[in-house]
Amino acid sequence: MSKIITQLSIFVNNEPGRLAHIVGVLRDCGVNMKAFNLAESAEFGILRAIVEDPEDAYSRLKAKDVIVRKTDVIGVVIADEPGSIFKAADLLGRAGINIEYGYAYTGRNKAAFFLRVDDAAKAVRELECAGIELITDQEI
Amino acid sequence: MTMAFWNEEIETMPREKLEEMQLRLLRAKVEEMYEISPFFRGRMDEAGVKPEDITSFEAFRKVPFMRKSDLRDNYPDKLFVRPYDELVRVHVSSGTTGKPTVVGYTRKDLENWTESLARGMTSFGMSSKDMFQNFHGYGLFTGGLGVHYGAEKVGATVLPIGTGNTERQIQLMQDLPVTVWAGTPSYMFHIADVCDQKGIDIRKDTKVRLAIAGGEPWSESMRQKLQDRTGVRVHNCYGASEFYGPMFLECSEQCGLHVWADLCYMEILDENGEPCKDGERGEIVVTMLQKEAFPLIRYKIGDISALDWSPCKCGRTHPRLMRISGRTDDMLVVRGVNVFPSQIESVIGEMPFLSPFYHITLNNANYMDSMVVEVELDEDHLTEDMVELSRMTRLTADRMKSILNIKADVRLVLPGTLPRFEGKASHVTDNRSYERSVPSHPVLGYLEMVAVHAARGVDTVLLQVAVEEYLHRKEVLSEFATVFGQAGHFASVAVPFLRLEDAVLLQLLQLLGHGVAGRDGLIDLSAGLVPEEV
Repeated sequence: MSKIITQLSIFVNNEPGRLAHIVGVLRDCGVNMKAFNLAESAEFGILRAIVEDPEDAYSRLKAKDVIVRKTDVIGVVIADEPGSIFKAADLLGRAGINIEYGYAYTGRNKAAFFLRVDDAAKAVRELECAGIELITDQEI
Repeated sequence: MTMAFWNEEIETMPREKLEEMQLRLLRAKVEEMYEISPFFRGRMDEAGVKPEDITSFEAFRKVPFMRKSDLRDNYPDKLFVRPYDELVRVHVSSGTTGKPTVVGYTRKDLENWTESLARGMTSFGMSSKDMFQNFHGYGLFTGGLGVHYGAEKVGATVLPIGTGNTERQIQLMQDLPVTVWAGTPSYMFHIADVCDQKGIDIRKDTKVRLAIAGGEPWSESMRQKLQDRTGVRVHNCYGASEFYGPMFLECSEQCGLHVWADLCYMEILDENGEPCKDGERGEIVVTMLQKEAFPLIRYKIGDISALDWSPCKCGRTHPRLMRISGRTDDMLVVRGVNVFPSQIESVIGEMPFLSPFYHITLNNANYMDSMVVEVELDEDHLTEDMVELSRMTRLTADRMKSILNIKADVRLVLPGTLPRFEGKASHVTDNRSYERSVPSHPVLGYLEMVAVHAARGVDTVLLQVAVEEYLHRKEVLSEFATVFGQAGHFASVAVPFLRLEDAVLLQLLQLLGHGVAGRDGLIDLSAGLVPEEV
């Protein structure tokens, strides 16, 4: 059980039909996405996804010549009320931890805000000390 | 047309006498170089040739070639044969692999360079009565200072404005009695475009009547178009910093560049190194006959053209060099700057996050060259960090700019994206056309046809007929309206047309933009379209 979640970053060329192609590969590999986010640079897009069994998905995608990277993110559990993200974001800011990007996830039991930070281990320590709940890989 | 000569005795000397002089100068140069240049002596000894062997042009062909790589290998000044005491200037131009070429000049070198240009300028009718607006960049580039001193030599009044600031260029050419331009042909097109946009008629609102254009490849049809648009007679120019700089110009006959045979012995060789016949295309090999600080002997500049010794109507006896029709290597000329794919490779090699796979695409929409360099990211350095990715792009683009001396649009692409080819040529896609830009949309193609048709007559009746014809094609009109329906889009549609033709196109497009309502009222240039600045 880990509070540092492995995210897959899948690189997709900016041309019509490429996303369809990639999600087709994900389907063929039996990869189920729990949460995802699409980002784009000038020349290509990046599909960032939280999946079931990322290690297995990673090797399946690699075998299909998909360009994929593993990155660590953390998932802050958020309550369905105003200000629930503020506490975590404020704390990380005070601790000097930089948030690079984030995206939301609504699971069966819990909602979470996945965050890419520059120091995941430190972020986990700081947030736990402050009593902020983090989602574990088992819970997704 | 009677035409003054700058140096009539030399310029009209019979060919036999010129060739006699050339051979004498060749022998003297070879002897001198054998004595004072360790590089040259080494080459001659390697080839087993002695200066005293050079008794004819044929024998001279035994002398080994000099190449650009020799200049690079002897960076910065190992090929100079005069001490810095005797040098009065150096120029620096971009080289093949990131190393520039440094060229030194004695006072005599500058005099000969200026003499060459003064003869050329006189040959197309420039004189002390002219005011000369120099668009060429000043500084390390030879173009600016070269033609500057040539123009001063013939007594013209020089306006040393240099590159850029088009608004000010146009203001001054109206306010001052400017009669001659010098610059790249693409910049002259740009000037013409901006004048059109401002409603300035170069024929009426300026006194400009002559121009020297060079520094980049261009065609005869481009010249015709430029002349038609501006009313300025445009003369081709050829040279290279290795020679001195820009050196040879066309006379008023516009039928090739007079290569001054007392300053330069030019050979045109076929693939086997044998001399081409008069008028036959081959590789240019240059020997500078009176160059002192940095002599060139049998230098392969890499350009392909032909030399024509047949008499010119202007009365000059020196051979004429035809338009450059290609390169023997992979050098590209982009916005007048020499670019070698090897320079781009050297930048890529410096960046650990890049793979060796790259592709160059050249375009010249509206006659302005642009260069896109796509490079694949190295798989091991690929990051999903956008900030890092844009930093990589910026780093690569900045480095390219400092090595190439021109801006490249750098695009870092995913590993495996670019086509894999063997061989060098496939690294480059050159979409540039030296004829006319072709609109990508069929409707634009039709519009252009109509517009060209109308513009040719510059006749309102014809224009009206053309517009009528167009408006009757309802389906085309509605398609046009769909594609470019909004006024905002019209500005961007109008621009390419403006670059091709003159204000008639603006009128036509405007008319079309306002639809049928404009049919009777026709033309109001002041309203509507505001073409974009480049």
